Amino acid sequence: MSEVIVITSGKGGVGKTTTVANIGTGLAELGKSVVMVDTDIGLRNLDVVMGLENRIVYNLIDVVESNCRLKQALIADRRVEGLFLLPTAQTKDKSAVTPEQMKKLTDQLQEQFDYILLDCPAGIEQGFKNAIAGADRALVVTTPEVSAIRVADRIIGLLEASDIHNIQLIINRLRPDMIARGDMMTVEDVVDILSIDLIGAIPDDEQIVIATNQGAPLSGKDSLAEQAYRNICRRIAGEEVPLLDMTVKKGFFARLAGRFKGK
Amino acid sequence: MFLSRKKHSKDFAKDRLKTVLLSERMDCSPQMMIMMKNDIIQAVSKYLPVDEKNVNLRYVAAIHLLDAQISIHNITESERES
Repeated sequence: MSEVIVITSGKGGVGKTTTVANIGTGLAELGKSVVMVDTDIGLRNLDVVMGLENRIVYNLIDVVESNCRLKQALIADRRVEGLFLLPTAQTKDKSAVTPEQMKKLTDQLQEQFDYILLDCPAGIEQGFKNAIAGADRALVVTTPEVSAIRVADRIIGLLEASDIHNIQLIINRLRPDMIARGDMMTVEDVVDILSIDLIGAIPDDEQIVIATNQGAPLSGKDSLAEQAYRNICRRIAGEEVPLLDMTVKKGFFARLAGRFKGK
Repeated sequence: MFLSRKKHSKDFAKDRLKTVLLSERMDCSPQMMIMMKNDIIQAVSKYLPVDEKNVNLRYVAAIHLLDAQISIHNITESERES
């Protein structure tokens, strides 16, 4: 069974690309075949986050315009077996492809991969419409801030209007210390406001910045954020990582918050 | 210690988001939402003692439902009898 998952947020800078990189790597580590597609035409970024920027020859537009075969544009990640990147074009704009062409592309990718992860651009215009065209499922990334949540709600509405009903939430950059002080909305608060299913919550973690600096997602093996991403991957793959897990994570948060207070 | 609980900044965030998202989901301006809420409170107040600070409106887009939770002050026996 192959699944096309769009990772979207509406607002920029909440961690979409980082999430795609980490989930892509995590799913491949679980033994799945995964392709990550950068659909942010003109603002290529997934390649640098993955550390694959020097290996780009062809891109998504070349495939769509039949300048090359699909296989030629796919970049294999040499660190994890089964992980591929389809980079986007840097010199074109969002109107260079149509939703129909994107749908055709994802259909083609479904023949080869277990998971097709689409890194969606910020905004709700053409780029967003292209990215969601072929998707069966959506992961909406937000942070516990009013601006990101407001836009996430709009995005959820637009996804539903486009007949994508399998939508789950990722809450990124949670700060346990601020939550403990009552200065940041909790996971429960955000889920309550957006009223969609949660698939994972990621703490704000400097290891993510370090891993991104090195172009190597999931390389700081023991960091909390990476554990959270691995849990999300297991849930995507259909494993029942029970609700208890959130309480465990809360335990982590509480302990971490306690440590901050102690200092 | 019975100091009234200080409202944390996240509570402001939550309240503001609830209002703005309700208005956006219903495609109704925030000002109109507040007017509607006040009208609902007024109408129900004619019959029941409404706790105005605890009136929550929620819109469930999937089933096109406007859900109003209206807290009522405790109605004591004597009031009921009179």
